Amino acid sequence: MCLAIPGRVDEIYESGGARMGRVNFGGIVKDVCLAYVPEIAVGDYTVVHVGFAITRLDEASALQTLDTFREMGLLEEELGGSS
Amino acid sequence: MKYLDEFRDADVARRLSDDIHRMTTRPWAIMEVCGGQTHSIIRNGIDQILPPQIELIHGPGCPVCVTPLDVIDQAMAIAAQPGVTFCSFGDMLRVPGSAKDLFQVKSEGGDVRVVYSPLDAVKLAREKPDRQVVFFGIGFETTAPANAMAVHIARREGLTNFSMLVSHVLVPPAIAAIMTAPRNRVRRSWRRATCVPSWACGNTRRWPNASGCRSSPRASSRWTSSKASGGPCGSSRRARRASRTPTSAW
Repeated sequence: MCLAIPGRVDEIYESGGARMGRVNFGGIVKDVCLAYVPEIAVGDYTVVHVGFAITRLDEASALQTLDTFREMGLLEEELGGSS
Repeated sequence: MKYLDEFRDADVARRLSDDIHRMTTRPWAIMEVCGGQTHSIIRNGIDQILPPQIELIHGPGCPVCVTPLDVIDQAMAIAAQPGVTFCSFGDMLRVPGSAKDLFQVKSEGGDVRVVYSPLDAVKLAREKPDRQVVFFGIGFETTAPANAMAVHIARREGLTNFSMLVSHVLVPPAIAAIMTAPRNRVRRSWRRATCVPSWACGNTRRWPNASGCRSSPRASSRWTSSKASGGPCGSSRRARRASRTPTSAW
């Protein structure tokens, strides 16, 4: 739960009154709550912590970090937990 | 093996190590805040390959380490009840309570689930109206809003079978206590140092200046009490003591 991971917002939708998104983390796609970053739009990069987008991120630094995380094998480890 | 080979990529490690050696031109005492970082540093021997001028100081912890023992015992008691589906971040399952951990409760028949997000627990409550779904709401400043949103959504949807065992703590008072301690050796420019992974670690973002931070007695006492609770980072603390021997020559 400690890592916050950058990902690209592929889709935005409403669920239970909350603004949600499908966020792509270098191939792994997760449902993420976008309520705390109302300015986020489809195609934007964001940083996600425990299923919540917490900030907007520029694409270059997002991709660089995704590469580093992938290189270190951290992506699936962090995103693997599911019900 | 997956997740091990990637960490043992010698080329990547060498490149990073060379970069760090090249950039280190004077002594640094650096504190990593998150126990998960401490665990990775020790497990992968990173402390052994850093330049001698870099001293790593471990603390003050992470949600796993700072959750008080009595809260962990409450989690065990709730998770063991029939009719309860207990949801937690995976990190908390290994944390020992007084007698057992959540893994043991699960192996004894408790319905303990690992979730990535508190909203996963809300989803479970929605799907299983016959179960009392309890989420273990631990964490610092960055996790509290997520847990709050889960409560907000559950309430708005009128879910009556969703609840949360809450233990939130604040990072700045703990950092302030360390930075203002007379014997503190962590460099004052710690704020800049933490900027590197600041958004990569959910719990190390945008701390206010430690000197401008008023200590919260509640958070402080929780942090202190947590030191006795042990947890995965307890092994880090033991590893830290072991690693102190070689580092004392630095």
